[in-house]
Amino acid sequence: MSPVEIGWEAAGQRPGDVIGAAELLDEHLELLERFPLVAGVTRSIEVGRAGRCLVHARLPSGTTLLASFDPVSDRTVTLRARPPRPRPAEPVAGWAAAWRRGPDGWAPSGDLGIVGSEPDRVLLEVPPVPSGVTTDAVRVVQVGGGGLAAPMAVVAAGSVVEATAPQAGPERAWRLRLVGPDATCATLLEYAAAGDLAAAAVVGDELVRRIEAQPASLAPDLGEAFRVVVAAYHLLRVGDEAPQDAWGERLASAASWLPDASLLAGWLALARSRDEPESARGHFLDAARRGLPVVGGSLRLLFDGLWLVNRARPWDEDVQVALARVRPYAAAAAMAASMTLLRGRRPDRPSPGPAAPEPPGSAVRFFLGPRPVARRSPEPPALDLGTLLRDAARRLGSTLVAVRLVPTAVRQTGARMTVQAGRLDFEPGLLRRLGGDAQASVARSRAGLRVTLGGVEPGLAARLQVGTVSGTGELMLARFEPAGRATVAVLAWTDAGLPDQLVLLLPPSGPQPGRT
Amino acid sequence: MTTVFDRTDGVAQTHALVIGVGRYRHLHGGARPADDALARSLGQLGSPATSALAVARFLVDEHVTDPEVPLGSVELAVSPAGPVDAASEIEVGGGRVPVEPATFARVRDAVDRWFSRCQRHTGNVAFLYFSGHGVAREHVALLLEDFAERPQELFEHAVDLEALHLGMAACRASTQCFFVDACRSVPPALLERREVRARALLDGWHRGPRPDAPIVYATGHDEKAFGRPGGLTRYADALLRALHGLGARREKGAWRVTTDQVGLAVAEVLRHGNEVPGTPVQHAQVVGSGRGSVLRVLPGVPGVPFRLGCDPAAATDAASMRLIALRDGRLADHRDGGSGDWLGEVAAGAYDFQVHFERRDFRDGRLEVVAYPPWLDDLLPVEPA
Repeated sequence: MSPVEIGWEAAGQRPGDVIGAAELLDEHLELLERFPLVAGVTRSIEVGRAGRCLVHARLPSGTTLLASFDPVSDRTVTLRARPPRPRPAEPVAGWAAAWRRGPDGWAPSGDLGIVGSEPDRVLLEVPPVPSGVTTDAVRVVQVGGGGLAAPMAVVAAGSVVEATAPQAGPERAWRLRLVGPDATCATLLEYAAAGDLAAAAVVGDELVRRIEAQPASLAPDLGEAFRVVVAAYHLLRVGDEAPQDAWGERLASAASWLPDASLLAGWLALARSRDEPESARGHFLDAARRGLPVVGGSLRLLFDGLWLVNRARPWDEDVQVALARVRPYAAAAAMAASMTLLRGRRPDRPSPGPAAPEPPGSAVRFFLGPRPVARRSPEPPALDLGTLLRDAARRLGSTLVAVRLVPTAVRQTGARMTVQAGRLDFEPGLLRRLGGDAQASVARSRAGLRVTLGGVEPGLAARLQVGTVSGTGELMLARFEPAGRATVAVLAWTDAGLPDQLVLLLPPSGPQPGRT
Repeated sequence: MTTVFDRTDGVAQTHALVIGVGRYRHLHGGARPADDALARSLGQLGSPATSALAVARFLVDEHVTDPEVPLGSVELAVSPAGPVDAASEIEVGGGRVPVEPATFARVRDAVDRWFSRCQRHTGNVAFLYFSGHGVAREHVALLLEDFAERPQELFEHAVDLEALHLGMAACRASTQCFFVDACRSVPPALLERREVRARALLDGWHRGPRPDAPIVYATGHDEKAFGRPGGLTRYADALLRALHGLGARREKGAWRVTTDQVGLAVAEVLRHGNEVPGTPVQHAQVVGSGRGSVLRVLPGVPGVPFRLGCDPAAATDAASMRLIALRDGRLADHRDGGSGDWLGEVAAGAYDFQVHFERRDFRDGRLEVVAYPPWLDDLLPVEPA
């Protein structure tokens, strides 16, 4: 029986990222195999038996992937994605702030950007640390506003955090989720936080396999150090003690970046019955000295490690001091989360109860909801491009339309407001022409302006272009490329904020000249 | 003695410790309320005793003949809040066995016996279920009937859950499950305390491999768990459904409830229940390991709840809907009228979900769906005719 190639759609993911875990089932739903779903890579499966088979996966986002096939006659199978039922997005105004630990303790820092915005969520990015820097790698991202409690996520520099407002529930707090930059680690941590431990094990095993395929680096970068600690958490959870010596070296190298590495080394030392308690004690003290660990559940592990050492060595004052330092953080930390999530007003004032503090001055502001919660300007769009647009349209044989950009995320620095993200406000006639459901969001990204278009028929979307017009009248256009169910265009853009308007180049609605 | 069932022998077995506390002598509404702000802020509970008895009854009635880890023993301590709550007896083997109250001394002794029995075989499953008040700081303190007996040492009669979990690492039972059906609230009066000194009950220091030991909490941090007075808690209902099959996968020819699925099933049952109007919202959380150790082997194919409908929603009310089993073409269920999503339960399996519109306002459609524990939830996109 020939192998079957299983493929799937991985919208917007980098090839090679693990986006989830799948199960291969027979017609009785007997579990035949679990395997990781890797973006851009099909899975070759040799079933070796007759009878219809199913492949089933549930991604951390809630999307289900499903396909059935006949291993005798089918050679290729594509998993069909079924997104979770849509939830209405309530209008809410939020803010996000980054905190950085300096010599005088935690202080707000302005280095937080909005890299994506949807009606129900916003993506926040902490810039990576400059190359050559091996400390100061941990930031706190706090999201608040709308009368909701403002949790604080402890993350490695370079992380991307998704913030959504809760729909209902006893915990009226913003929900924060790690989504990048390492999507494989984020997938693993999100599965574990959701309690899908079988799926987490599949992704974790794949992560460990990839790390062990490379020689241990003596000087890992932050990304590598993060992967090592996430994989080590997985090894600790599944009780795999085999590779501890090699992992001890990896964790020692990673410890210069993240406190997680030291506390994991402590727990792995505890699992080795030949080690004396002093070994674990040293690791736990080192972790407590280094600061806040970043992976969800890590503060509980650090507290429990110190608590155990304290029980065994009640006379040890160093352990007592460390325990007293960690205790308020452990009491304020969520147990099941992909990141260390703290409650409290600011990072140096954790509290077990919820808090809804005022935002720091450097906070980025944003709006979520079905429609932009921004006041419409009493003036029509400033079509200062009028003649230019008409001329350009004539030349191109197409229609060039100016579209107003309505801000949805704003950064305030002192009295200065800079737009970080927005939505294109399609006028009714244009909306009809685009199919009625069209929507487009605009955000700053490292590459420039990222315009995400949704709700437009793919054939039409492929013929659309979006552009900017410079102060000298130079028109810059970019085509939309498919990215999952949306299409994305990236425009060169170097300004700090966003333009007031973009232009949309529509294809001719009738037959084109020269064609019949 | 709180031992209500004991068939311990030398093979791998399940040993359970089940505790339900609704009556609190020294809390608000109790026989002798303590003069303490925290004690005054907590009251009597109407569903823990009923829930604990239901869990114990499930084990005694349905787990004794399990082919892999049959029930070996049950330690049961229950303090009912009053007549609306459960009786203080349990039926075992045709006779009625009195149930001891869940005071600290009795629970401590029960933990000792439970630990000793679990210790006898590495293949044993240590099963703990607690329902009652819980308060959270860095650890969760489980409050027993005589909590706050001495305001000078308020938490003398409370159990430090996570310390107990750490202490059980020294036990030889390689599979341990902690089901914690309690609030993890942080009352304001608790914030005023520098630390909470609940009792660990077991020595915590242990080196060596740790067991497969997930903790399935009923709530998130600083959240409440809910129950119906005299009925089951939402969590107990979800746990029993998970043990009945929603936490199962079919492996080696049988459906098995495992440590890596049971917590997810509890969380999913609660999550779907949250969408029922008027239901107090509650989120379960799973912490710790979950390596797929077997908790139970099911005698048959589990039922899987489903929610099916059409997109757009207006089409759902107009549709006749069918679920046809793909294996044998049998009609498993159907709905020819009704409003809102189609809710029901079918045996685990793959189905052809067919919709037909008698009035022809939409085009008929079909979708392959799989009823796979813990839940089937799908929408069939349909086009206007």
